[in-house]
Amino acid sequence: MKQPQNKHQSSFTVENRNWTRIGLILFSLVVLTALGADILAPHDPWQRFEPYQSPSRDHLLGTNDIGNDVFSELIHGTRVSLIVGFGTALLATFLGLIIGLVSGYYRGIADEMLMGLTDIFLMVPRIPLIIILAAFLKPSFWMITLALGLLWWTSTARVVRSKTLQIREMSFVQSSKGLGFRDAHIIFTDVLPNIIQVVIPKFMITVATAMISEASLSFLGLGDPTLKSWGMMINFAFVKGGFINQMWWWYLPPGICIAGIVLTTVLLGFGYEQKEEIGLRGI
Amino acid sequence: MCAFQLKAEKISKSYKRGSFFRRPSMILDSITLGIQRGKTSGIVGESGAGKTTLGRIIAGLEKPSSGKILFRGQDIHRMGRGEFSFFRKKVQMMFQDPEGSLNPKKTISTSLDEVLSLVGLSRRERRLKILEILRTVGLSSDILYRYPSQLSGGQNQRAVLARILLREPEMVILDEPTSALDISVQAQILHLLRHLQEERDLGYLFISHNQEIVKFMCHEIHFLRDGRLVELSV
Amino acid sequence: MNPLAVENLRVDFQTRWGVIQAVDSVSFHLREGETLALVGETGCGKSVIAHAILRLLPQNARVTGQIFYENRNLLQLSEKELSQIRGRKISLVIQNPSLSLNPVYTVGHQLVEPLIVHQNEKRRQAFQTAIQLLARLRFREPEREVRMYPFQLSGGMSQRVLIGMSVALRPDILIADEPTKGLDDRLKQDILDELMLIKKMGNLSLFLITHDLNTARELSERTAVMYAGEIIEMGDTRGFFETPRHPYSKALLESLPGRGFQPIPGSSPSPVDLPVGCRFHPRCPHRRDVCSERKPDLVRDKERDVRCVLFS
Repeated sequence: MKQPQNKHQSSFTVENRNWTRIGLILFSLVVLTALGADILAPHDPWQRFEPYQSPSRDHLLGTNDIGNDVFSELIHGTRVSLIVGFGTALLATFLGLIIGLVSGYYRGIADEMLMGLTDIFLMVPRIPLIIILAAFLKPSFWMITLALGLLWWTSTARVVRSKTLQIREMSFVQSSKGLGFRDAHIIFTDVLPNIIQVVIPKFMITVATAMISEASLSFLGLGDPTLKSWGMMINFAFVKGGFINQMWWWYLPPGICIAGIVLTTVLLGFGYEQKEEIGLRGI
Repeated sequence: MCAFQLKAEKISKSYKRGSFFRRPSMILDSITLGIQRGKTSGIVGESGAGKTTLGRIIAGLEKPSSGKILFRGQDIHRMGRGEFSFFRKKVQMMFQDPEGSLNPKKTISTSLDEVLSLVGLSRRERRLKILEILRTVGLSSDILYRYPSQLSGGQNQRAVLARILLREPEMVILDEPTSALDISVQAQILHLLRHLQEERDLGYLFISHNQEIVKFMCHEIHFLRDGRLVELSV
Repeated sequence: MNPLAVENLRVDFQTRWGVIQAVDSVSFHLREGETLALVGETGCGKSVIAHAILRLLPQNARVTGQIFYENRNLLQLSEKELSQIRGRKISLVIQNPSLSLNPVYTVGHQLVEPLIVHQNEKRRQAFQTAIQLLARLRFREPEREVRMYPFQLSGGMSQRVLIGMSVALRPDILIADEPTKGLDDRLKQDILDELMLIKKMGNLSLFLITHDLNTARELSERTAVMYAGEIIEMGDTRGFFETPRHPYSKALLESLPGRGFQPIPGSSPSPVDLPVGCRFHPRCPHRRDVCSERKPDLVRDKERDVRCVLFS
């Protein structure tokens, strides 16, 4: 006589959906769009047609104030978001890892100095700094990526250091020391694989935050005018009267895309965490 | 010639606890003891009495606040790089928790193989040595491609032992090696340790809180109380 | 009427590698005011039984059989009915006390929580009850200690607070899952004294799960031994420790440092690969041909249940 263990449990819960799969599918779509932008976009986004057109069969989302096809702009915008997002995250995570590992493993003076450095960087307000940089230098998306990356390693560094401090006390690290392995070997083969699981979600969040920051900066007019980015599209929509004239095809699609790509990135991170959790639960 | 190849002389260790104005607390106070090959010295005391710290200091994993550790007559903290490497090879330590002693992200094969890569051996030679050492500790070769989380506590401790033996040590510091294991497995591992001691003339420092086990394993027993070695029984 | 009666309990786990049988047709009962010790090594399934009684198993567990408490089958109750029983009538003490106490609340706060929630006591009164409880648990300064945080307590004290919390509501049955695991000898003795005190306090039935044979011997009136998911011997404690019958029981006792320290050759079978016939036969010094063919039943002889062909 079989008895159900839990009578009152719904099957549609957050845990039950396979977020990894959904995240991966959506993300692949995004990457494919970015890679195949030239093919997928019906027109060259820089080509000028008749401006201020409403959505039609030829121009699915109409044209903007100088005649570019909005839909093609939208597709090309994927590239900017992805490059800034991942570029920033890679730089920030790489720096954060190195600093956190060295700090946490060696402790002592190196730790004090590096953490002091971290505190200094934490004090710097990011967006105002970028605004100032944009005022003095030519605003380009490489600059944004570099600036954001060089400022955002701090939280990763802290987390990595904290986990490193924990791991280095574990018996297997002590064993490796006792067996006579070099520090570099221990850090990379013993410590690093065990901290990756906290670094990856942070990486994903950095990607998402970088994308939003780039969009915000572009919206403020500090972005790279030579590129088609979603933030810039909304900026032009605002400046050229798209909001007042209720030309939703100017500002709504890029806004939805920004939200969408951030959501996809977060889902990826979430899916990764979910897989890790299942691995950890075991029996 | 001194019979003790590994000797602790007047080892003291204190930690600064709490606020700036508190006096440091002394965990170990002027401890002197020696370990020789082929024999087992035991240290018994309550949890938190400083036994593990003492073990780590003797193994060279931690520095004492004062005192010396002498290996073959030389102060280990004044050794040159090469000599210290040799010390590291000859004096090993085994810890209490079976799963924590092996990197959870490495297969047993990787954990064993990397030890051999410290010596210059060809791939085939390494493979042979690994199979041989598995036989010595009583593990079958099908555990090689598993992770520590897939092995039982007893199997993990044997793998740890295999890793240590690959370095061909003379002394092993054993910090409660069987406390986390089941009773019947405990007996297995301790018998194995005794057998290895005879076979390879190993010197053991056996740390435990269990007096019965210590009586079984050790030739002489030190009692650690309040940071000092109080009694010695043989 | 026995407070707790387990009949033909079977627990399987559905995993991506297949079905794992953790507990197979286990039956036993707990008498009023008695302590039953369930002894076995890692992986034999004893913890699973403890969690099964209170329906605390993970989602992928499939439970069959019956667990009777007060004439009701616990396995058929709703979550709501169960929550009335957990903590109040049947309480559980688990291992690793330091992980079970919330570090941001004082000891007192955590002790009064069940009193307020379950028994609707007013906070002030509950606090007094908590202080009394600590005093009975031999804490030396209960008024001061009740305001302490868990990190200020030693491991032994934390464990005693946990035990205190689990009996605060005066349950009928206390399930203690490895209460002395990982503790050194002196702490072990403390906890054992604690549990004995609790037993006397209120006619409590104690279901003690442990791999430590000495603990079982000191605390229990009856002892059951589990191997690979089955009970292989059960009987009164004194008789069992003097003359164990099942070869595994004998071997287990002989592997103790005080009793010969003889290791048992081989290792416990993995639940995905159980031997055919008697589950212990590959390691048994008395095995015969029939042992690898047929699994013996649990047979009662003079107040002792043994699952072995030598005794059937």
